[in-house]
Amino acid sequence: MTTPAQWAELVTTALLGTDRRPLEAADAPGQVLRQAARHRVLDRLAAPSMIEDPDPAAPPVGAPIQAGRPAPEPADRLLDQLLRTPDPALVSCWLSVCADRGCVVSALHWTALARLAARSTGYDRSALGAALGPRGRWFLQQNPEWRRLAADAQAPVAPPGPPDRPSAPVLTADDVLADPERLLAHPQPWGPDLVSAAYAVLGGEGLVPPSRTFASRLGIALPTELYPSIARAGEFYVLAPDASPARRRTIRDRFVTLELAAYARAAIHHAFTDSSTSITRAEIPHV
Amino acid sequence: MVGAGVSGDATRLVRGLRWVSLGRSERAAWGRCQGSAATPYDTVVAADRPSTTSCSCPSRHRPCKHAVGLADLAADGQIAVTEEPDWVARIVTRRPFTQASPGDGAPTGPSAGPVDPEAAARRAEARRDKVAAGLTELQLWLGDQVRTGLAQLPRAGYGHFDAIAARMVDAQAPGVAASLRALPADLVTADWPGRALHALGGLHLLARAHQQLDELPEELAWTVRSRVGYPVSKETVRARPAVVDRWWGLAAIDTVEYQLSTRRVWLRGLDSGRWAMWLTVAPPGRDLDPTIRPGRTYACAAQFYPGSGQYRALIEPALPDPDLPPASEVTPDEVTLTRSWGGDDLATIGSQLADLLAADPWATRLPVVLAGVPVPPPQAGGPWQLRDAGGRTVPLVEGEGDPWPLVAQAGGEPLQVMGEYDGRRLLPLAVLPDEHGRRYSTVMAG
Repeated sequence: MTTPAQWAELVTTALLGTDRRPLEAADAPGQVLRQAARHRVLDRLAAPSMIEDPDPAAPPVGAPIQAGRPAPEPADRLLDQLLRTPDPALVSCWLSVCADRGCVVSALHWTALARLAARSTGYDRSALGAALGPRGRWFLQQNPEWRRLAADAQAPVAPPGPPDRPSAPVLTADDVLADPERLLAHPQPWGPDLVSAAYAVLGGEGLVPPSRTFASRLGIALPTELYPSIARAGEFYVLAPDASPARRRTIRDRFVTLELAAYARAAIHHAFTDSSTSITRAEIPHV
Repeated sequence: MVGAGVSGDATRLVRGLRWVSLGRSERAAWGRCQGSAATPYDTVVAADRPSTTSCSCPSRHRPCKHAVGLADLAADGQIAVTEEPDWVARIVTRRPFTQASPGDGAPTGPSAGPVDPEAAARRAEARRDKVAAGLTELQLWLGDQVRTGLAQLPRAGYGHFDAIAARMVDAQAPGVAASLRALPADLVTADWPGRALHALGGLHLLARAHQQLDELPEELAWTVRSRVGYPVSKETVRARPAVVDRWWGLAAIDTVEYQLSTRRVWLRGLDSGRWAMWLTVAPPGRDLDPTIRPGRTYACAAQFYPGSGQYRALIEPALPDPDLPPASEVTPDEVTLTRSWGGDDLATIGSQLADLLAADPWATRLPVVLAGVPVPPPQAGGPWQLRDAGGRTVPLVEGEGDPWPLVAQAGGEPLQVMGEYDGRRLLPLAVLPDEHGRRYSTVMAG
């Protein structure tokens, strides 16, 4: 058995060389190599890592018991797909639906969700906290880099049920044409005139052009029963006779984004229910 | 490994959207795939060797995406057994389908013909003499390093080691050459003097063991030959006793060594609890053989390469067990019922390592399932650890990201982590399902 002191002595000898630090042996290099071979095996068996550390790093305190049932398998797979090319609005939509249904997201996705939400405020942190459940929120607290996110995720979520709506100011189609963001801030249900005005904004008839993410956010907010109307509106505006090809392409891109978001939202709802109904994909005409 | 482009296309093809006809027999699986050409491509994959393929597509990439997709379908058991059409029969009776694979050790090509045992023995003897001469030179070189001092090694550069490694290649000792080429990487660590001396000591022991090859127990002698780099033919392996079991592919790790892509897939017998390692190697530009995949279970025989402490095995025929779908496609409860052992603590793993080193003193990897709690470092940049029930800890090998997915799955409680243990650190490769509902996962960092 080689003691640590003997091994240190041997290493020093090898470092300096047996020519400069001779040993009392006929074959000094051979003796060093033989001892090194023996120590190599013994050292691995007595690795320092295997010895109980008198001052170990404290392990995490046990996580609370998870509340809520796991998200259904189809919803879990859908989230997996959404996280490959994450869109904050869609991921937030998934999280909100998950929380509303009383489900919790699988621990396999916690790290990816935490990393995304910590980098961007585009993700609904309250919905994230609700969908993570108490165990997932505990997880956020373990990483100091996610401290702010963990605090935001702890914020209470409004209980499901009919919201206590204060009397919302009356919103007109002209208001939407002037400032489309007001529609998204307006409580639902939206009247047909408001939805038509939103489509008109996407069709380039608003007083100001829509923001880059407006179509996506509108698609997520749009009630599922209005999904078929997207194709009709898209056809109307994309095929408008007086529009230039460039303008048509721009309008088409907006309606494609709108349709994609609305379809994804419908798919998210579908994934959380046992309903076998599915919606037929709307097609926006090509330019 | 399947290349990114091929993988995506193959995934689409696997869905069966573009296949005109599919079938399989004992010899091959086949299909006609509608590609960009007017007529479908005729694709055939050998049943026992998915790397042996034929496809009429113009791709220069072999195996092409059609063959990879077809092999995937066949591996999933989604193709019904039917009679071979004439066009398939014509293909499978020609080369390369009738040809033994290069690693089989069977004579092929111009050298095909009956094996002369005396000539083979003469060749083996000549090779051994050549290796022995090379290892004698190695011992002189090792002695010189210790005589002149290791302190000069970090400044000596790669060339210093490449020269002796090249000599070992000439001496037909590629295993020794690989160990020598790996040495410079150790010279940048803080404890490099001890590590370098250990490495030189290990090579010295190997050279000495080779000198006494005839006096060693047979299995240990095989181990020495294996570490030196003597080839072992697949026929030799196939002649050994088979271990029939349901082999669960737990995890895989890909590495690139000297431009060769290498994949190790760790499997464990569900009934025997025995470990097996399936190894596949591909030259630059070629895909790794995807036959054995993590998460899947294969009801078949494993034939282990000779040598004590040897995990490498042939898994044949590598067909997924129809009764045990991939772990990722069933509920955690189902996986736990069918595929669960419980994890070991570090004391048990220590004795497993002792057994391995007694059998193979040059072994560098021990497959383990450790029941432990992941412990983040108290300060950023510190080592992550796994702590077992007894309070002992083992550092984790640093990866491309921090192992937060382990913390997420663990929740502050022990989870079963499959990994490779080298006596100092653990490389986590998979989280195994347990009775607490944890799911099988190979995502270890995020």
